[in-house]
Amino acid sequence: MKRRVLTNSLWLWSKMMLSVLAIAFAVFYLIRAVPGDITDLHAATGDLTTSDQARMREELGLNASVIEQFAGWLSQAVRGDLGVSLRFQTPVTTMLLGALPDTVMLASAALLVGLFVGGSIALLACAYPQGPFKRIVEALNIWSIAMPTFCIGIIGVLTFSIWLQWLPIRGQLLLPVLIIGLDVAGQVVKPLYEELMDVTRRGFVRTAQSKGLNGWQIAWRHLLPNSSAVVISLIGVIFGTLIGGALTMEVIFGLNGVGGLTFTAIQGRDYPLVQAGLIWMAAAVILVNALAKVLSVAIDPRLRSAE
Amino acid sequence: MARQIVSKTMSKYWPWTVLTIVVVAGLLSTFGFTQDPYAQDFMARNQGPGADHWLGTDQFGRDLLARLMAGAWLTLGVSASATAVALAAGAGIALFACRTGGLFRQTVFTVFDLLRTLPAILVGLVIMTAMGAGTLTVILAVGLTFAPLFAYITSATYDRERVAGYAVAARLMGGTSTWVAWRHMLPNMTGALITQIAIVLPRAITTESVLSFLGVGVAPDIPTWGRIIAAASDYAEQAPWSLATPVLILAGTTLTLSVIGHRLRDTQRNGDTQGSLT
Repeated sequence: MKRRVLTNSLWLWSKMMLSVLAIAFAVFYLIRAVPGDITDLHAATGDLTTSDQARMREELGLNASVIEQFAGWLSQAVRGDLGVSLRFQTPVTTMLLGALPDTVMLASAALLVGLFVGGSIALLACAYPQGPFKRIVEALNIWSIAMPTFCIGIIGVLTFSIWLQWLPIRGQLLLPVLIIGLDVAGQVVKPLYEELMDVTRRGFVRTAQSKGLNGWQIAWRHLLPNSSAVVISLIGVIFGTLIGGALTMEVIFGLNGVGGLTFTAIQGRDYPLVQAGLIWMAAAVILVNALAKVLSVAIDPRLRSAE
Repeated sequence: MARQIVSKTMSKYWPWTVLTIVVVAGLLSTFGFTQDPYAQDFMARNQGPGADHWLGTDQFGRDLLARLMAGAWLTLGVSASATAVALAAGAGIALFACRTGGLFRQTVFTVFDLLRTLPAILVGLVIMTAMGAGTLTVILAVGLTFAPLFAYITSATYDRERVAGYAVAARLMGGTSTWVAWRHMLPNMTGALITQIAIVLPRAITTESVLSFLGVGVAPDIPTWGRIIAAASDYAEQAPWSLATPVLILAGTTLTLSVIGHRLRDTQRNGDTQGSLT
């Protein structure tokens, strides 16, 4: 049994590493497939002569084959050196680490809002089947599926920053957190509600009732722990939403997170920064997905035999 | 009673009505029944709604209504093409992989897993960064982003249909597995695939709009809704109206299409369960 767990996690680990490598190479390769590099950009503004341009290419190692460049980049990346930003002349690692707190703060606040709103509405819909909450479950769900977050972001800016003037246009976290949070809530609320409805029909709920526990005690002690597996199985999806949402929100609200940084880098063709940002975001999503898989197996023994 | 019938009919048909309006608006624009969406009028920049320009104008004094109607056609066209790419790539590769089976199938679906795990915007952004902005590349990028969604449906239906009586019978009659897959099983998957098209289309519209909004989508002079929004967002304070209208229209359209898609899926599911019961 122990050995199978070990081989399983080894397999999962190697698969994850392969995925990250594959994504890293794909990004690395694709970025170099763009016609025109940073030296062309400098040459176009008239800062460089043709010989300067050739020398700059040589210095930046742009003449080597993609595989050689990738190998060189990788061997440095595992030592924490992601190269130097071409535009800002600062180490990319420093820039990413500087941008990370903003993104982490945005994402974790949105996650809390999403789980709280989604969880309470699912619970309320379960507790009061006659009430309006069942409709709210549906509405939240279709909202997160159908409404593009960047549209809501713009409507939010128009309403609260330009029309009502309650919030600054750029640099505030309240609207982005609420918007991504609602998106997360919409994705969690329906599966959670269905699971809760399923769990309430089980025997232990009746046992708890006959022990004399009240509704909230049952919900807190029995229903939520039993349905938390659903949330954990959704972690991958949620995290994808958080990263994608943060990217768009950071651009709209002018936040200096990883997404906003990467986006500016794309516009400036700052290769080292673009690839580090994109690879970081992709790797984070893959990592969290793998983690969620391990966690859900650890929590729910029923999944073990399925592996 | 009559009111009940009206409200029931309304809730049943409103998504289709909205969709028809959007399509007709696009058609009217392609046949030139609107003002010229590209004509600039520097005397009338960033105007609000008025008699000359019903929905106002943008920063170059171009008529917003005409641009939005032209945009309806372009946006739907780009997204529908992207969905077609996703369908062809996803279903095609999946069908081939399922038929071949074994390690090949596993590898293909590992790649699809990877693609699906990543947020659509991220995948689109990577591909667009590589291929450069342009209508064709947007179609390809969005198409590839959503290909996994068709691949999963295809493989699930494949596994179900493969053991169905008619497929076994066709094989026993001497059909090669490629023939059976193409001639007998594919037609039986159309229901599921059409539903998936309806689910993917609004998401394709969203992704295209975000990419265009971020400036890596279609060329700046092509007025898809995302581009119109991107242009208007630079003038949000001077002309909030010109920003709000396209945003609301875009959100309304994706909402409508999503409702259609999910209703189709519900009927499809009910049909499936009824089929298995009888």
